[in-house]
Amino acid sequence: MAQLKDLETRDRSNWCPGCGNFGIQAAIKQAIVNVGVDPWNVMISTGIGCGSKINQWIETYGFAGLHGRSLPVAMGAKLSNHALTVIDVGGDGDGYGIGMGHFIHNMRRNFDMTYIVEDNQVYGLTLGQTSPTSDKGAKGPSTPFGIIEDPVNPIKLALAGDCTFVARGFAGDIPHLTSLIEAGIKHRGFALIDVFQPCVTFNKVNTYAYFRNKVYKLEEAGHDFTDLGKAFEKAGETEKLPIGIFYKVDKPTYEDNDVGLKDGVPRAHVDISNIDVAMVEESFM
Amino acid sequence: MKNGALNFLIGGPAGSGIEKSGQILALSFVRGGYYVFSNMEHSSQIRGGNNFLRLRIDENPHEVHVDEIDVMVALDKQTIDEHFSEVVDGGAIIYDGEVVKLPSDFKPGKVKMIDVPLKKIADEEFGNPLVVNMIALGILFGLTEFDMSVTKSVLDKIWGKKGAEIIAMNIKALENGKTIADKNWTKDFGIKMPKKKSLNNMYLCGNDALCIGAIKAGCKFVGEYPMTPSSSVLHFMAGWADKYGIVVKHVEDEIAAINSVIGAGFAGVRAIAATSGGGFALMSEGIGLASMNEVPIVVIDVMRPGPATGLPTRNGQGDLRFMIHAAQDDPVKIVLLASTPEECFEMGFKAFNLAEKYQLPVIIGYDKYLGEGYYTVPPFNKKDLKVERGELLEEKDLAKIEDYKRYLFTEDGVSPRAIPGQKGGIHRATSDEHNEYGEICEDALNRRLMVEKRMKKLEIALEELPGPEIIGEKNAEITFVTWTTSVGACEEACEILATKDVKANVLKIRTAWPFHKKETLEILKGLKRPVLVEQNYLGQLGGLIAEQTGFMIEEKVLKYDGRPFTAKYIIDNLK
Repeated sequence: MAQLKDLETRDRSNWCPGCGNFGIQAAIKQAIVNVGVDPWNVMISTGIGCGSKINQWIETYGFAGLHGRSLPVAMGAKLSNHALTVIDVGGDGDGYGIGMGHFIHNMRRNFDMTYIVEDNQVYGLTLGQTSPTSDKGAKGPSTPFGIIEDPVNPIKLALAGDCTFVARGFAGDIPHLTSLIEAGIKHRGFALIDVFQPCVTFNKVNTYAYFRNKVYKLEEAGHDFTDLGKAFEKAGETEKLPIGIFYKVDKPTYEDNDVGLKDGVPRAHVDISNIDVAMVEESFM
Repeated sequence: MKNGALNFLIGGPAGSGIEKSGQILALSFVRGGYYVFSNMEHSSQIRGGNNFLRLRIDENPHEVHVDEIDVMVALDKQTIDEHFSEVVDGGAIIYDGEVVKLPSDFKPGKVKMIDVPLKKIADEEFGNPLVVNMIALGILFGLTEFDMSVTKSVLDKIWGKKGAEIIAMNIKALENGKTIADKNWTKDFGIKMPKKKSLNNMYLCGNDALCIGAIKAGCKFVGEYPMTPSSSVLHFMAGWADKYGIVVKHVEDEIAAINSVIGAGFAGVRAIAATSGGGFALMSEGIGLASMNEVPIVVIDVMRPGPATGLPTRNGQGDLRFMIHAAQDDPVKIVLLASTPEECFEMGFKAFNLAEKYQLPVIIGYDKYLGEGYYTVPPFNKKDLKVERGELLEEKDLAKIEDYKRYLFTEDGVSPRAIPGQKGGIHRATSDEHNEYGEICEDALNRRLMVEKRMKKLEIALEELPGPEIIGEKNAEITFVTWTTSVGACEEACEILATKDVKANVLKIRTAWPFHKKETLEILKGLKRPVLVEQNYLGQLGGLIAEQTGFMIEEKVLKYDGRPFTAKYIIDNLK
């Protein structure tokens, strides 16, 4: 069982002072401690972007891959060793932009994993372009006259995509975000936690103050997270922004149903030293 | 025409059961003690068009087809239009004149035209149009006096699940065909194929052989997106997933395929992705990732002509450069080239050892002709195959290491490897340039050392990679320099040239990267007349050899029409 100090790395993070990622990093660490899993049984998969550097600075196994491709890596790792606690963390550009296809497909597969999206509505590491979740009209170097597309609504997408755990947190409320991530890890299935993450350098609109003023907690508003219709209604709210669990349902996981895993043994633990292929060869005779 | 050797072609529109008929015929002869090589030429459509399957049935094994036809079953007129000229004198064409309307001035010459109302018999006597092909096969068995009893066991194998009635109906259709043949044609037909002692051989395609190697190697994860002509790898592995405990995932695209395979490799599981050129293009960035993060994976490129969609169902050998160079900068990888089903099996096994020993992506390239071509081979030699996992650590090893560094600088460039779940091995595998711990690091000296560390692995690996191989005569007047299935065509060209007192041999290249510079140059310098033979426009292997050894091969036989070589084509195109 890990303690917070066990999750400290040699290296220190290099995010901008005040970056929302600090809150997310703290919440992930605390959630790992709360869940009680050993750090060496945790694998954090990330793509590319400011937020994707997060696994550099959490002392668990980590794989930092390509932009937008963290989910397939997480899937391969989970199916190869389903005893691992697999967490995927990435930005909105990573998950809702370049990696959108993987996002949609992995929700419906319902692997037992947790996907945390640091949603700062901007491309930080490439210096401030608008992102798929940028508010309509937002300006950046790639959209100097304001973006004319409507933003992606990840919560609605997840609800429509049969995601079995759909939640939203706020990087400025670490205890609440911790509880969401903890619930996401404990959920048997694919858990999406979209996180409002202020970018203090490039996003001067969606700031800590902006979110503090707008967010309210679903659980305090008496939201029933088993009601898909109500979840959609909540996901559409824009005046005030609900955080908490929108929807949760229990379904068998992908691992439960995969014939290749029917013996329940993680593939990484299977003895492969002497496999007999005689029956395959006979099938060709 | 001679007894014990039969070149057969069945052609017709897509969806007319050509492949299944061919399989029944082939397995009958394989179980009857013959060697069958077959290749299907089909268009990229599910119904219509003209598809044809060639079977070369012989007492001796062959790895290439010939253009001559002894017996043809023509299910449409196009088959006769396109292939009549290939039918030998004394050969036969089995067809239904009611379906295949030949012009009144059609001149068959010395070809026997076996016009049988196949459709009418199928409809009236069987009430089932599907038995047309079986009646035609029965005619062939009759003509060649092949003992059909073996075919009954083949039908049980292939259609056993459909029930005894279906089997009985098909046997009756075969016998019906044989009766027709015996009545009018058998006596005069010049090729007899007596049943021989079964050799207990397998009849399988290159993709199948590769999969058997992969299963033997302990591959437990497949991430793949279907793409002709590699899809049968996905189907095969999926079919055996429950028996061998393999997770087989048909994912959303090739990008997901390669990245999921990398996730599996990182987690300590042997994983494979098979694709063709277009899918391989989508995998390129991932191949660089496996190279950078030093993740063992195996990728198969079953080549078809490109670029873009190209000729989806035809043959090409144009991805040599692409396989070597896929991914930006200097990706570290091994590229093996298979030319026979035995090599598919062997490389399918050994690629996983190489991937884990050197912690890098291993690519196996071969063409559609091998991937989807069917061969008759004995069960594979597994005697010396040993699973080698290289520097993969166990927890007890990690317990002895105080300061674990995943990317430790070592003499041979290979670092001790921990996998998730192991206490004491925690690290991050990072696609940014990283230091020995795996932490992002932009230091110039570290960068230089890391590039050299990864590259060093190739120098060491080269020693155990299959080198250039001379097949056949020493001191030949002509040496065909080639790769993948062009090897088989060249070998047969050598046999034909030998009958004309010309000594020829083959230089086969089995590893494209890293390249055996010294060994290859040594051989090339001693050749009298090297001739480059491959299926692409630029002569990519020739280019690679020139680049790596400085040796230019001036004489070339190149083909890029999407159709495989025959020995005859190669000889006809020599200067």
